[in-house]
Amino acid sequence: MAKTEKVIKKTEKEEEKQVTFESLGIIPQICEACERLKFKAPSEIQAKSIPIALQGRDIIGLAQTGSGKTAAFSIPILQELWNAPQPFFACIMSPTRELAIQIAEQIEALGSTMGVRCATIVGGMDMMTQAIALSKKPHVIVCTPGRLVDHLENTKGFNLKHLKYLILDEADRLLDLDFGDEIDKVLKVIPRDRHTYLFSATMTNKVEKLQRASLVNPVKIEVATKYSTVDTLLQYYLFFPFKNKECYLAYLLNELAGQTTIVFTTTCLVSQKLTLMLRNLGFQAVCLHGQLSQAKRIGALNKFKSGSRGILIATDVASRGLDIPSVDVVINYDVPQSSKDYIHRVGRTARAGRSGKSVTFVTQYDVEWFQRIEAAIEKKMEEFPLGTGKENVLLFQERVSEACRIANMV
Amino acid sequence: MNNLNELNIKKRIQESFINTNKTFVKKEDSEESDEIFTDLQKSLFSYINNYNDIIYSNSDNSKMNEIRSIYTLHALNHVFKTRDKILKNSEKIKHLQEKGEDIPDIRDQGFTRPKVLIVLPYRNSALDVMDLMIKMSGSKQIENKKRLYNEFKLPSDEDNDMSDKPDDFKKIFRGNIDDCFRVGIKFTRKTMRFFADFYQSDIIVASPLGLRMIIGAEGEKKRDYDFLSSIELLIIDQCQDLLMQNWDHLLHVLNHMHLIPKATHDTDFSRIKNWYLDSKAKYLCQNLIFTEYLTPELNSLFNTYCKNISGKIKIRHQHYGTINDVIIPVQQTYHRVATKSIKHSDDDRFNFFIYKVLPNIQKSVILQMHTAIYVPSYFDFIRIRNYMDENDYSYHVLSEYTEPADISRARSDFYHGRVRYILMTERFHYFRRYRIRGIQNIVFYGLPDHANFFSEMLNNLSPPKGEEGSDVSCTILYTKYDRLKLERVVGFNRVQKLCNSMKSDTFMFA
Repeated sequence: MAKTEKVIKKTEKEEEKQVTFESLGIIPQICEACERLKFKAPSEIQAKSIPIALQGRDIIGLAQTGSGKTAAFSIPILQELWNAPQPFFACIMSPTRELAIQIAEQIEALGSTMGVRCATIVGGMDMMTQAIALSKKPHVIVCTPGRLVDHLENTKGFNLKHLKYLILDEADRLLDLDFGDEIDKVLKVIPRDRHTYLFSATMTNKVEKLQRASLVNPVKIEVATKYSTVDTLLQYYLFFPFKNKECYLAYLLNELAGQTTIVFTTTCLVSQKLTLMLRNLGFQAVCLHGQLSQAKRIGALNKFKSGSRGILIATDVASRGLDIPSVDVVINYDVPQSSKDYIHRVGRTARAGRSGKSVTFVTQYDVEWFQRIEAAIEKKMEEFPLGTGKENVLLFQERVSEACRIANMV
Repeated sequence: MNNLNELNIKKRIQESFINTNKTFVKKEDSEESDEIFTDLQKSLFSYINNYNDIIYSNSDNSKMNEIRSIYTLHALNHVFKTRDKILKNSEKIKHLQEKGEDIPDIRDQGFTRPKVLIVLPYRNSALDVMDLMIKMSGSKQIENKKRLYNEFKLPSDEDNDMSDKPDDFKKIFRGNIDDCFRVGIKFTRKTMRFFADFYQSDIIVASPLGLRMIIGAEGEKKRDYDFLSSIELLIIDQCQDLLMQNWDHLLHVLNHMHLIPKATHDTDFSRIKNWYLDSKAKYLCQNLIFTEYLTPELNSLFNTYCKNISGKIKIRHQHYGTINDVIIPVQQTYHRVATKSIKHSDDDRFNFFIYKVLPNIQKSVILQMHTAIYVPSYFDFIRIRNYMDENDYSYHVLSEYTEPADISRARSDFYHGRVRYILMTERFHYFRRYRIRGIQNIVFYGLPDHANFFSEMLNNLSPPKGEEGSDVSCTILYTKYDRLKLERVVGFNRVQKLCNSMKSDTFMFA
């Protein structure tokens, strides 16, 4: 998330240099935690949003992927919590379970010096354990909307009547229709008199959507223009016939051997099949998609994070928010369905000022989609330099077909 | 100790307790007295009311009812104390809510409602305890009382003829001796309801088997043990009889206590006590165990499962030995089987038996007729039976699984000398209490847990007609791990010598 000073240096060097966490009015307890986490200076979004948050205003925060948004909303709520401690002080919502778990980790790290209690309420985990966690009256709840509603309805003695802060991370996704019912239900049972923050790297402009979150006189903080990707990211495409897709993936992964890679697919089935195929070819691949049990999802992610597996084949569950600093390459095996998804997917690499590259696979069927994305991000991509290797790609074909055949038998 | 208020006994049950308990107080001194408790009750209740864990052993079973009376008092008192507290807090919360004020952190509940579990072996004693509850509870109305009596009493036309049995047998097996039952008891302000749903109940009275049936085994689809999650008072009574049932069932129940429930059961999570949330419930559960005698199983249970932070107390009596009750002159030979560890003791005992004891018997013309072999454990019984089968011994078996027709035949064949040996288990004797006629020699493969069985068996020996008693004999095998059993038979003053003597491994009494 928030290891970001390099980005800042690029923009308005002189002015930002003097900004420290202390100068933003942050209490020493949290500054100490930041120091421990090796946050040297606030990132741009942090520098801009924290003072406004501390004034008690509602915020819509928009900043590029990997620019420290989580800390930008975590720090002010922890500070307010320090001033007026109470159970069920803040509720942070995220569209995916993995992201929620990651945010909870960050809250606990930032709040370690002040003893913050944080509960993670996500689907796929044991309801009872979570009910017990809620019963212990945590200060902060990090949740996915569905499971939170489940607890609000079924766990007797749990309510959010005294909630002070509501934060929607990846707000544009949460305000999509998919989560409509759940968000509405939550909004009905929390007090109107509260603070609301919306954060995302991409933001909807549709007023009616934002109205649903019922912000009061919000301040919009934009650090980057809408729909932009970071400069340290090198974006490429590869154009080839549809039938050679697997073969190109195998070749590319072989070329990129040793680099940590995420491969995004559109469907769970494809990600599962590709994982099996790659394993048959001897690649260390794990997959992450919504049809796995939560234990397996966390297991796969941890294997990938710890570096024991170098390749993660994922659907869009992994496209938002996840902060895995070691990722070098993002491959879009299928062209993303929207430009937003594209921005989030490639945002898994080149985080916090690091460099990274992305390769999007384009077949004869995807050209139009691909061009729309190019138009949206206002960038013309270059073809990935395969060099002399281009003829060699199809040498893999036979082995790849065999691996595919075995994978399909399962 | 005569002021029930000072003992924090709830008003509701004070008077009814005094009235119910009068029968025991009177028994001690013939005159009317102001005492509320008997001496035994006084000394026990000071610990019980202090929420200590207790294991109490006393072979004198005439005190059983006195003890039941106070533990029932304690159970009811505990239920009413918690109930009053919860109601008071609910009132307070409601009041604050109406005023719109902040509600403080109130924690006064467990995951589920049942707070007291009373484990008993048979329906007859369960009915005794529930009868006491009805008398003491001070409830105006008792629901399902009729059903209770229907299910826990024997129909009047059905009654076991026990006229020729010993008193302790009559006491255990009077009335309904079904060993599979469970009753939830729910208390409200004025009523008491039997057969309430477990999750609505305050007290559960059950047998190990009855609980085992709903707990189920791992892998079974329908399992339920959430109701054991918040037990605060566990009473296990009549352990000596539970030990004659399947002890595993009781351990199974104990292993499923104080776990985090699988479902929420409509619990108010904001009011669950913190130690439940932290799975520390077992440290705040009082365990009361009552038994006629101690066994290694009970000691292990007390050491393993009773974790109450209020501390625990073991009360035991010295045994003078049932050997004193043997009336007929009989030579008793005690063999101490040398064994290195408890793991090897079964094999060592078996080898000693087949290489030393059996050949001796076979050699003697007199001994090899009319010999009974008494085996406490069913497993050892099977092992010896198989051995005798393979080596073509002339024998019959009597175990708890033997059909009545087979029992009659075995007894008659043995009496008339048509078979030489009879092989019997302790449980057979416990459940049937037959007088096996015609035993001239008896071999105790191990000593009985029920020490009175020893004297009973010995007094039952019948010397051959026309001769004097010197022709009956008794052989006993024991190891150093049988100390508790041995003490009950030979008495505490002799057990030391029998266990520790370096000089000899064989001891004779006459």
